[in-house]
Amino acid sequence: MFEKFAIKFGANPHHYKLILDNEKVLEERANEGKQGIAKLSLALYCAFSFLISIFSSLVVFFGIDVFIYSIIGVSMSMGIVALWSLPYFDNLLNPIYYQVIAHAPISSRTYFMVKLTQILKSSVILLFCLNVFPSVCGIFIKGEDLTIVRYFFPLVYLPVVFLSGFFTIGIMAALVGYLTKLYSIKKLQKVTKSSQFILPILFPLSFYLIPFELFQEHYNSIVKYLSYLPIGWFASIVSLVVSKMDRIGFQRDIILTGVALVSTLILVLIPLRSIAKTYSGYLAFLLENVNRSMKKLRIRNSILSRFFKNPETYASMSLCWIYLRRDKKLAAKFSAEGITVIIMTLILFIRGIYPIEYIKYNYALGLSPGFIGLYGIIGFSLSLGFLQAVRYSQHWKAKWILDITPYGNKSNMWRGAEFTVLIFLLLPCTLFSIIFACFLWGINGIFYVLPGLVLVLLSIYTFKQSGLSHPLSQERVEGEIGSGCLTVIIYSTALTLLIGILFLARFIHVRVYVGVYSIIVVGGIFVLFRYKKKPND
Amino acid sequence: MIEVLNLTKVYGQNKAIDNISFKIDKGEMVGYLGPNGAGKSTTLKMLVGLLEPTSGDINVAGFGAKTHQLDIKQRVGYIPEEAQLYEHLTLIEHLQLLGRLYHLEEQLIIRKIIEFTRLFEMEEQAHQRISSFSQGMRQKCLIMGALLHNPEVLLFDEPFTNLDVTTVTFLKDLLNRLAELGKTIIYCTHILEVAETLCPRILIINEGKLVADAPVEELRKQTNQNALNEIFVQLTETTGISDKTDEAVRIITENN
Repeated sequence: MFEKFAIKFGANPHHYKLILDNEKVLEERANEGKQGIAKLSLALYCAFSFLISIFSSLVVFFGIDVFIYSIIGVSMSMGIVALWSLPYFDNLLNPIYYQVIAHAPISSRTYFMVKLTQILKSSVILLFCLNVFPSVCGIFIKGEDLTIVRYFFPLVYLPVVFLSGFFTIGIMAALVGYLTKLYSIKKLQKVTKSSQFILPILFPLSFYLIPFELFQEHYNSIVKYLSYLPIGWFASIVSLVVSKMDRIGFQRDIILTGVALVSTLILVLIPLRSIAKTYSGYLAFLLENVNRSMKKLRIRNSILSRFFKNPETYASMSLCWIYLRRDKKLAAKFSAEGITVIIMTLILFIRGIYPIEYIKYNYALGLSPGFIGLYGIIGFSLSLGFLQAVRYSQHWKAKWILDITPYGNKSNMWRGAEFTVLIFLLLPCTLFSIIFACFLWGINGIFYVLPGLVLVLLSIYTFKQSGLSHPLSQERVEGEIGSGCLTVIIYSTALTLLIGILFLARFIHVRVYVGVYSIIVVGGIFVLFRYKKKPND
Repeated sequence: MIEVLNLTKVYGQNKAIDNISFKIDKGEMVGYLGPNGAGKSTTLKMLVGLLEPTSGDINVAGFGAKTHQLDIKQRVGYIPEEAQLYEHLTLIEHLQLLGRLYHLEEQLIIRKIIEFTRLFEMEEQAHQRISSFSQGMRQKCLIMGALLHNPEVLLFDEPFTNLDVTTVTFLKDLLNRLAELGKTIIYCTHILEVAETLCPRILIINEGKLVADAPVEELRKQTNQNALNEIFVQLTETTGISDKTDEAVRIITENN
């Protein structure tokens, strides 16, 4: 099917098939070394989609009408396809293997169609998993306006949701094609990469944020507005086919069906054809970018370098900072942790399990379990997360440079990693927390940050540095990873204990609380200084 | 066979190629020389249709680059300066794919691959993935890929990089024979000794401008220099090498 579609777009059938098969082999082989989730991502996405579809289909038993039922299916199809395919547009923006065959007589249309087919193929599997269950459940929709065609609901519903999925991909491809004319390739790649994280957060959150109560009250007007959107256009096709002709919404369905079909046709015929046509220009632009030369050499010397007496520590810190900014694995790790914290916090707040006001609640000066807990968790996640990556990850490219002894004293190098955490992770996080605390409690806010800060600093300075001096032969040791995880558990427990001790002290007497608070903070700072002076090697 | 007229390529404010023109006949082997960043690779990329010229005309094997890009690609064998290969394919799979893209018959592709791997001493690696190859083996892959479809025009950008002496000698001989067979060859390099022994005619480009286009002998007469490297230095106005060396020594030995 895709082949015919591609040929209609002007692709060379011989080249199209060859490149498509080749890219499939390359993808399979590229995934050979990978384990687990990376390999099964489509399967996991399909399983996730199937599960969602089971829940969404159950609305059929609550007397929902066919138009709204189809709108739910179409919106989910469009949403999931958009989420899934977004990262794959990076293939269109930056086809990594293009340079290998750029000199062969392949038309840009053919290459474009290969890339588009790759996106479409996985989307078909995904759409099928997402819609097979709802299509069967659709048979049980009740309504006086429905005809006998409703018993063939899957035959009507499935082509429509497939069409809506393709429409979404078409719109996205056209948008990406248009944006390439306006913005640089790097900017667009950043957008697609960050959107991967933003959209998955927004999608589940939409279920919490959409006011369903309003929907029940203003059913008719909301249906009217939904009809103006593409989801309404495609839902109308289903409604038109399975419903009687002599009913109120018949005219609306006819018009919207026309809009859906014509818009898809226009999308396919005009923007997609035009992109396929101009894709060669874009690919040439990619090759040109390689050739652009730097105009003037500029080397910036950071202000921070003046504060470091030890050049090894500064070199290590600079390296860690660069990797902290650029390493994809670290970015993914921090993004995953950040997303989890944000989602958990939002769910707790929105659902009222942990009211937002509670974070402000304090039992004494410097004792707010909610605030100290939140600061501690974020502080530990950032600090220990980075140190663990430096300490244990075999895949972190800079690791061996930090370990290698001839280049410098190992403890100095490790100190550089610690400084990276302090300056680039903990300092912004603490400043933000102090501002937030001052906003809640005035200038006294600083006392609410101190206990957590001392504990996070202790966790950084007591983190065990690498013991081996032959980095390239160092193997990933499960026991070491276990001890890394243990550190996080120990300090999380310590945080809970800290809050518990402060609570107990406050419960006994306010003076006891002041004493315990002072001992914890001053004692913590004393221990920190002891650790800092103690040589590690 | 190759005709370039007033070719210009501009990147932003920078003129990579500045209004160059030349003509190369069938069976001619031309050395295309110039310092690093002079515009050699950019010219070749425009000839093979990878880059679009800002202005000017290109005609290769009777086809205009503006209108018949695919026809040109079908007739050109190109070796890029950087080895771009499918890392996850085996050598055989890579060559098979290229042969098929050039519409060669299956039997012919297989025959050629067997012979090529034997001649380039890569029979043992034929079923191995390219990701495990050394730089020299990758270069051999590129060369085999460029010659597979019996192209009329050969555009070689530093083809001998990373190759051992035996292979270089073999290739030099091969290029001479191919030129005798009527193949048009542009050999792009900054290693002057190879160009001097291999190419009867030399084009020298400097800062995007064509500064010389003549047989080696004529260039010797024009510049009153015997060695090609001296001719090159004179034509590219490379002066003060001795001063530059002194400065480099000073920087290296600088401690505080």
